[in-house]
Amino acid sequence: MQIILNGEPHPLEGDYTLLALLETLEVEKEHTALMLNGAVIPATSWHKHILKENDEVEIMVFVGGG
Amino acid sequence: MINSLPNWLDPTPWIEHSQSTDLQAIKNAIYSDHPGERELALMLSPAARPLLETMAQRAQAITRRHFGRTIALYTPLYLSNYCNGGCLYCGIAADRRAIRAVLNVEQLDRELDAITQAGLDEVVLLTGERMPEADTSYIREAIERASQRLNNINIEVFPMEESEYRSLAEAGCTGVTLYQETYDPIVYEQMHRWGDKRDFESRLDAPHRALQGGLRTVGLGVLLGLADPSADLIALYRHATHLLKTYWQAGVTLSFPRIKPQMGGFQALHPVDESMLAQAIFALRICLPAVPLLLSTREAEAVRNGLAGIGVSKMSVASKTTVGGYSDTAEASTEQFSISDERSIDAFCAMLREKGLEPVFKNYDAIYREPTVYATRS
Amino acid sequence: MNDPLTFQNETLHSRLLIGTGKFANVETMIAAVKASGTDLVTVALRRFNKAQAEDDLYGPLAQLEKVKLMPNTSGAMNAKEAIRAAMLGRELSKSRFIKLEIHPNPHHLLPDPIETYEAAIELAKQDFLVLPYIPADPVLAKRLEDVGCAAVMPLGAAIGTGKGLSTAEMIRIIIRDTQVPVIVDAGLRAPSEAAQALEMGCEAVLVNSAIAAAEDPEAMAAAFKTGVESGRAAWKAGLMPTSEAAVASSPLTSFLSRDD
Repeated sequence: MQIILNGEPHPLEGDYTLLALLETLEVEKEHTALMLNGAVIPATSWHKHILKENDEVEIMVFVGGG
Repeated sequence: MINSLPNWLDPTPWIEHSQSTDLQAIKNAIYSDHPGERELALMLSPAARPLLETMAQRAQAITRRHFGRTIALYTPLYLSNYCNGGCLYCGIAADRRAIRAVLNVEQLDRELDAITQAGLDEVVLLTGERMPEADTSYIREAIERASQRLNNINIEVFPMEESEYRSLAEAGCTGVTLYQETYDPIVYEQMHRWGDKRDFESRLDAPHRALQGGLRTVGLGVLLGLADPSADLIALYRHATHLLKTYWQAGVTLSFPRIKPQMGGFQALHPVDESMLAQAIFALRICLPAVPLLLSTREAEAVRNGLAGIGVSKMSVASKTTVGGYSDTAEASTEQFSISDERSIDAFCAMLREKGLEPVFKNYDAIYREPTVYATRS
Repeated sequence: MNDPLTFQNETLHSRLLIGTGKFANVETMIAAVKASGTDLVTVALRRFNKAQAEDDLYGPLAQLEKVKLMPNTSGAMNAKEAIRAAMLGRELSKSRFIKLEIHPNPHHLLPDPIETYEAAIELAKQDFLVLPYIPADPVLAKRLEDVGCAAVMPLGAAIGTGKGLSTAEMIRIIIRDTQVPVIVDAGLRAPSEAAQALEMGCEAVLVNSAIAAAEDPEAMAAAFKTGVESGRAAWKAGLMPTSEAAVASSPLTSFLSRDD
């Protein structure tokens, strides 16, 4: 299936939770905040959300800013 | 009696400065860019007396910047002098032998017509303490009748509840005047011998209730001479700044007449001479550049002439402190205090114009006005 | 010197807040942050990009123990986006601080007062410590105080312009009338300007471009540190008044020489 990850199509094989997705991307989990279809998902709930076709996931990190 | 003044009001931390003899500190205070309580106290010190002319110069410059060369005019209208209060210093206290009167509708209309014909547009409606003869609904009706003719209607009556103030605002009232008289709780208790007025805290809180109720302006004041004038003036300043910060869309005016002898022979404990009155006006003008300062007809002609435009920005004119005094058709009644400046409107305005000041009879029209709604504050 | 700046229950010991944008690299930014002595820095949120993993500041900033992170909402074009950005930021920073900034026009980056006000209402309800970046408008400042912002941050000049305290007179009015801390944010170029802001009575300043774009950012950060400390000390010491020469030609108080 396909999800939209940070604005780009991203293929996925099999069932993924948000948590599993992050682990495959080798992202520092503590450094990221996630949105699923426009809603902020707290880290404690990442394992609860199973991704579906066309879900929009945004993975945000802190960068420099004024 | 309340134990101590709330922190936002208490003048105690600055009272020592009002006894300062440090002339340089006083000069710095007069010229301060951001004067506060400390500068006010220093300017009220007896040691500032030789610098009165300097203070006058700065007060005049500031008055001109914020008020131009204008004096706003208003006149008091006594609706009733019935009173069950016990103010030691007042000619119409319950135990004074006073002729009591209250205006009926016809008399009120005649008074209002006389005021309107004189060209005035701002009136202060006065009563004594809360009485059946002149209760809130009576006052509300008086406001309704006044607002048919005039645009600025102020009341100087008894402390009310927020809902009462809201009702009066809806009727066309634009401001409430309520002097704390003195911010010294001990003196306050001695002066107010019985009745509702003994409640210092409720009176102190009334301007808040008035502004929450949608009135635009509150007039604060003290009677200079009841207690230590410097302490009372610093507390008055703090009361004003507290209200201005909390109700940032509101107007605040200040008035601090000197207590004068009345029929009962009351003598002030801390008499204030003319120079001290002038000093107080200049100091408050410097510390509150944009707040109107009022001077009533209690003061003599020469003092009123001298202070107009130098700190003072608003003055009562052709005042009568009897009930029904304007149209000469009501029965005689006892006056609340004696008038010293008895000049007619024309004579008073001629004096102002000679001084290069323009008398302002009318400020804003009331057509588009609605009571103000504030964010609810704790 | 014990002169902390308190927002509700959060306390800062430095009155210099640092923005972390525009630095050449993370090492320079960290060195500047350290030299500034700050205990609150702003960060922005951006999509994770594996190719630019070094942009992720969380790790480097977490090593600066006493430094708190304040996410900003830059990139948001309206209140709804800013609220969402704030929620995301809070997930990471675990702190209540949020710098609310909504600047839809990329040419001048001036803040949108209407969207900012709308966002502030919601964010204050959500228990954020809202520090809104605003035009130097005294009435807007009171409105934001009314809806529960923890401070107001009027701009000295547009972001990155380095035009200093071009809004000084308005900032003076805001300081006089507002009951929450006033923090000048944007437009400062020199430590003397930061000092001036503190001398006027501002509680703190937020500086980014002036440090990041300096020849030697670490040294400039140190210079801003002393500038802020000096300005604050001067304000507490009580500056002498500017004089106002009297102009009346004849005495005004001669009417008082009569006996009372």
